[in-house]
Amino acid sequence: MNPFKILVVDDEIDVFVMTKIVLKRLKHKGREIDIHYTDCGTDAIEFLKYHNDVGLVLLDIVMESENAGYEVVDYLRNEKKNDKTSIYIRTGYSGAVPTEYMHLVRGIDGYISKVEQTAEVLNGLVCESIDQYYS
Amino acid sequence: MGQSTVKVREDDSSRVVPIIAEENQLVREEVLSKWQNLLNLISEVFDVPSALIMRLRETDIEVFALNKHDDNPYEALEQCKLGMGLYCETVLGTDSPLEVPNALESAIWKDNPDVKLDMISYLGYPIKWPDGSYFGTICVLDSKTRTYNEMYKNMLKEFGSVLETDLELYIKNYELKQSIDALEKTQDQLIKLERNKITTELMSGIAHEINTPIGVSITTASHINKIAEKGSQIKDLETYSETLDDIQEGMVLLNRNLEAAASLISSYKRISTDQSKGDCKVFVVADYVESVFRSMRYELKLNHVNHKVSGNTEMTIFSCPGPLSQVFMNLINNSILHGFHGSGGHISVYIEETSDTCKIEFMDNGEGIENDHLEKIFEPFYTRSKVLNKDINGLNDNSGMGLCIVKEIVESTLKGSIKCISNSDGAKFILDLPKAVIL
Repeated sequence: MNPFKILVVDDEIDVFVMTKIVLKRLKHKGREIDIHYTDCGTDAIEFLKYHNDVGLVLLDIVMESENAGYEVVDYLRNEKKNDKTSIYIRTGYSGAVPTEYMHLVRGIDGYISKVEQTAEVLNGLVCESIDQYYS
Repeated sequence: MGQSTVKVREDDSSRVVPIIAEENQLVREEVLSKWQNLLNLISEVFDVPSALIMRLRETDIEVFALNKHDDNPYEALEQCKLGMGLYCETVLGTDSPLEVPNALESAIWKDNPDVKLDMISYLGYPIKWPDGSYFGTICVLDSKTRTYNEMYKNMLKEFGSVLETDLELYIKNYELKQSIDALEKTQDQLIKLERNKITTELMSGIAHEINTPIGVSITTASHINKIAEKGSQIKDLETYSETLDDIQEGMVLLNRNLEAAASLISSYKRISTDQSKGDCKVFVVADYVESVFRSMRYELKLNHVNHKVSGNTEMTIFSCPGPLSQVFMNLINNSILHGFHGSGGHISVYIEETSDTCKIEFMDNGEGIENDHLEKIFEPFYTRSKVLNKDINGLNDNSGMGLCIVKEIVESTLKGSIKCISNSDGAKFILDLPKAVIL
């Protein structure tokens, strides 16, 4: 059984380290987790170009530009026409979505505030994404 | 507007007339010499011993200005209580000129107070402020019978309107001065507001920066907690040691992120501390400059700006670190907004110890400032950006106040000086700060 592939996109590497630590022993319906990491939107798009089997993207928004994260959403949903991969926005900001990116909101599975994310929340959303991906 | 009561001798009535409000009172020195010359001229032309400009006040009337003449019985600033039925009181009470050729020949005027001074003939005109209230009168008096022809009367009336023009000018100047005062006050308030705004912006920047380490800590702590809860169910040694490793791994991450959060808070505390003059201390200049760059890490990264602090990085001064940090925050903002236009660049800060000052050079490699703009950049509301309040990657300081605040802080709080030189390779701000601020 193939492991479930997750991409963490965040300019703070500790966000990735934390995600890896929390998920490393997770096994859901027999599937293990395979976590990858990029620290900017551009690299994330590059990664997604060559990996068609990513089941979940945990995405920061403000990285090399203020809306770098939204560009990843745009690429995945509109250019690659990929609706299968779950996308969760993990951001330090709780601010409003800029108007020009509002249309992308439909393509997002959820927002998680960094300060409200407990290990249970993270585990829960990974399991949910696995269920959805293989349904 | 105030008022005073005058006695009109002709019908023996008391009349209330308007006078100018207290705060608008004419400052005597401003017009005195001009008006005195005018009165000297009038007394010569009219061939009278006495030519006067009288000022009406609440309860009296005073000799505001007078001609120089040996036979002039009046003295400057001499005052006479109202209600005695002076010639001038009638002019003011009836709002019209008065001519008395010889008081001794008139039943009404024969016992008026000026007769005692031998001033038996009188010609006078009212003088008004632009708002219609009375300043007083202009008048000529003589000790012998006088009748003046129309030409003389017109001349005195015209002299009166010259005085009214002076009064109008005086009021206009007064209003202008008030507007300027109000503007200066507004400017001071704006500077204060802008200084507060910088602190608020800094706070929201820190709040964002701190979310990541705190968020990581929260998730990690809850993860460790979960592992620990399962601890009692562990049966074999291998799982036990694996669990300990997991906890250890989490603790390292937790520690690192809590330290990052603490350091962000302390750098915020450092630059936002009370900016009062009493908050001076001995500190390493380079450390504070670095903290400012650290607190603006987010803006610098978004705008692809890197920086270097060099020179005498050990140098300490006795000064106010909070305001100094604000100066650097503004200079960095200025470079990003107007030097780099959000397209990236390099900022270098060079610290040098001179015999009695700390010289700090702040350089960017942006597009520089044109020579004819250089002298204006420290003026309030001056901005080169055509579009006010345009955002560049999270920064917005096109109020035109940034460098004005810098100059204000450097000069009045830090007791130093700042100048700017520039060419097409970038702008350079040179700060000269005293090694010790004398409180």
